[in-house]
Amino acid sequence: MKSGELCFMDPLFQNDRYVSIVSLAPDVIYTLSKDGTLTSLSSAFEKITGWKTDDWIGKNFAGLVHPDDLPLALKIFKKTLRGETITTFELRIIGKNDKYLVGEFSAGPDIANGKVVGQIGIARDNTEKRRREEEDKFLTRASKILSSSLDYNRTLRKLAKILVPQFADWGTVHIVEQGKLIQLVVAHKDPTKVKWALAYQRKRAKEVNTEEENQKTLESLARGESILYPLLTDELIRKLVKVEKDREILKKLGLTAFIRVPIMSGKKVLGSISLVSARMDRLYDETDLKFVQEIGKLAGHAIENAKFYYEAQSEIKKRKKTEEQMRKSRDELGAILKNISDGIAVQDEKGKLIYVNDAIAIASGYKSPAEMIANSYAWTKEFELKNENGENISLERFPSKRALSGEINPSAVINYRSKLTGEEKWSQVTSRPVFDNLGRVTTVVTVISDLTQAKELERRKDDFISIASHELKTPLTSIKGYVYLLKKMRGRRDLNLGYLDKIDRQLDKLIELIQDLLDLSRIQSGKIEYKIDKFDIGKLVKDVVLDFEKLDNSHKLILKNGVHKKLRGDKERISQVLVNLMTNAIKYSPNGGKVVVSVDNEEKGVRVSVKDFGIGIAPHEVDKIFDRFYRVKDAKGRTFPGLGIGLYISHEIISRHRGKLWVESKLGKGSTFNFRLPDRL
Amino acid sequence: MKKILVIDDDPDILDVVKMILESHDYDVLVSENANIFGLLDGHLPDLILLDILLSGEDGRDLAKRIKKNKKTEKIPIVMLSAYPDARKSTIEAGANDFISKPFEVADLLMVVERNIKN
Repeated sequence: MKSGELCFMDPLFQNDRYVSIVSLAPDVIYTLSKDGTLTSLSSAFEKITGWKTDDWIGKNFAGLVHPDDLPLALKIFKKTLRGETITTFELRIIGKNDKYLVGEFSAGPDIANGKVVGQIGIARDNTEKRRREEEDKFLTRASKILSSSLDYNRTLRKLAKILVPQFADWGTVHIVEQGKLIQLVVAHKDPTKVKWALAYQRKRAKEVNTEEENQKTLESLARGESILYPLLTDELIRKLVKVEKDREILKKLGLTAFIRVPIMSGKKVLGSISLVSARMDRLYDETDLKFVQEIGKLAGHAIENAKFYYEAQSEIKKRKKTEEQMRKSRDELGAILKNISDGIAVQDEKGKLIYVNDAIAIASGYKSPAEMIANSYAWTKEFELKNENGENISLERFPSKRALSGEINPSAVINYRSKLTGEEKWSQVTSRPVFDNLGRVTTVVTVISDLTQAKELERRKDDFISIASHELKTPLTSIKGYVYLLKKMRGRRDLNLGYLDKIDRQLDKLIELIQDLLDLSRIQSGKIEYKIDKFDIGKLVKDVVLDFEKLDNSHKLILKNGVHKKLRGDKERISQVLVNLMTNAIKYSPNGGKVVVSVDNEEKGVRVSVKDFGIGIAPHEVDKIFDRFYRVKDAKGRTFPGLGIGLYISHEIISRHRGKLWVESKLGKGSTFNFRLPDRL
Repeated sequence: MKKILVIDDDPDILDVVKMILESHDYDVLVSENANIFGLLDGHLPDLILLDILLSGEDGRDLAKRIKKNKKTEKIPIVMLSAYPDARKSTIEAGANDFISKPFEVADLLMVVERNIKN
């Protein structure tokens, strides 16, 4: 026996002094016999475990050890029997209320008379310490998780997953969104159970007014209330759960304890964490509640941070989007200004160009806007300017100059000839001054619209009116003459009634002209009417050619026609087109010669061509001949009689028959006008 | 009998003008184009009625040529046109008078008479 070692079996220690030391010790001091039977237990055992010492004296110690820890306990037991002393090891001990306790043990051989008779040991209750350590560890882990991601949805899921199964069998997390309690997570270590729980909730939501329940819960949470049910007895369940079915379920699940804490940020309730135990060895107490409340606070901070972050993010996003939109609209505006056909120039208060678009730069004879801006003050000087009446106007009268001196929106139609290119153009020039709040001109925006084409059309229209009246007057002159002669010869025997035929022919000419004029106006207003019938295209061409042979003997008309095909269309209008093409062929081959008219079968249609060997059409005029009022000029720049609308009308008629009218021509060699009509309209 | 040369590219006009003038005892020569100098080889007309619009040539150019030719410069020219505002340009081209189409025959006869007398 060494000094300082305790041995109850030793008679030396049977004295009261030692007994009272042992009984005062806060730790459990025990002895085991060689077969593991508990031979003594100090009184601390009762206080710590809830058992009476009598419950265990004479019984095997294995009954007190957590089954998982038993192998370790036995190993150490054997070691101590061999004489070894083992310090500081932990075993879980089963307490009276099935709760596990953590004991920190030191044990050695119990020696009597130099022989090992068993084990002697001392055990300290480490349950609280371990729990605190566990909780600290858990809190550290939880805060790590809660701060790891700003997606609080995901974070809370993760949190629920570490709470279950470590601290609970079931765990749910709710958050408050727009005044409503929304279940975010249901966790259980077995995913099939989670599925079952969610399904049950869905089913239940149809039968029970969950809204009311949620409202109550919300109110309670808002008061910052936590709930702790350390032990869910049947009685308690009956009191708490109103719905019979729910009670059954709870019973079936064997739920034993419940904790619910609010997730708070300051005084604001953000949600709740609920934990449920389904084990008798895991009941909740105040310490657990405090611990979960701690987690609730951490979660609250995490959610708040995440919300701040998201608000910041969405603010950033919104700003980025606005910037993007602004950039886009700026780009679009730039593209529009760049591509617009009107010229746009912006000048500063001194008249220096600060922006010009492509149109104005190119129209002014520069290669690029940059080049024009580089020659800022020169641009208006490079033109000879005239007004609509052909009078020279000084630069000072140019709208941009007038706007610079404060005139509101000056505008003028200007004819300008570029000194650089020699090109002559008509433009509508409008300037607009921009004022600052002191009424000073800061910039001038000038828009130059090209009127050249409009002016050209206007000119052609004027020409047309004068040509049309000329064409109308010629037959009228003849008619007047014949009428004069008839009157003069009235009553005379040699009165020439042949004059009437001549008058009639002139009237036909007039009717034809008026018809053309009407057609033109109908086409322009889209009111031309077609009488659609079946007709033989071959016969139609033949008839027209025969009519021409009667009237005209200056040209040799050759008909090449082997086609007798029925088409659908307006026979009169198609005749009109052919008459027009043949009239042109004759008119534009003033030195006589052949005119060849052919009809050819084509896939899905018929092609009619009128070929002459006359003056032909210059390549630059080919595109224009189908325009209104356009008349081809000869080599000396002279036009031919006619309204200049025949091809325009013909083109329209053929288009309306879903056909095509086109020309192949060589200047000086003649032209072939073709039109193709489809079999089916 | 006074002799008048009528130049117009419209055969119908030529036809009717010829008949009217003949009915007033003028001797009438006609041409549909500007190739008239062959016609002038014989004895010269006392007046030329000339339309502006000739196929292939502007009547005013022809008027200039007639007035430049020593042989024909004295012949009075009356120009015709359906363009009423062509008077100025015809006079500038050397025409002695102008009448716009369609005309009253009485006016035509008056203008012809007036210019032939000069």
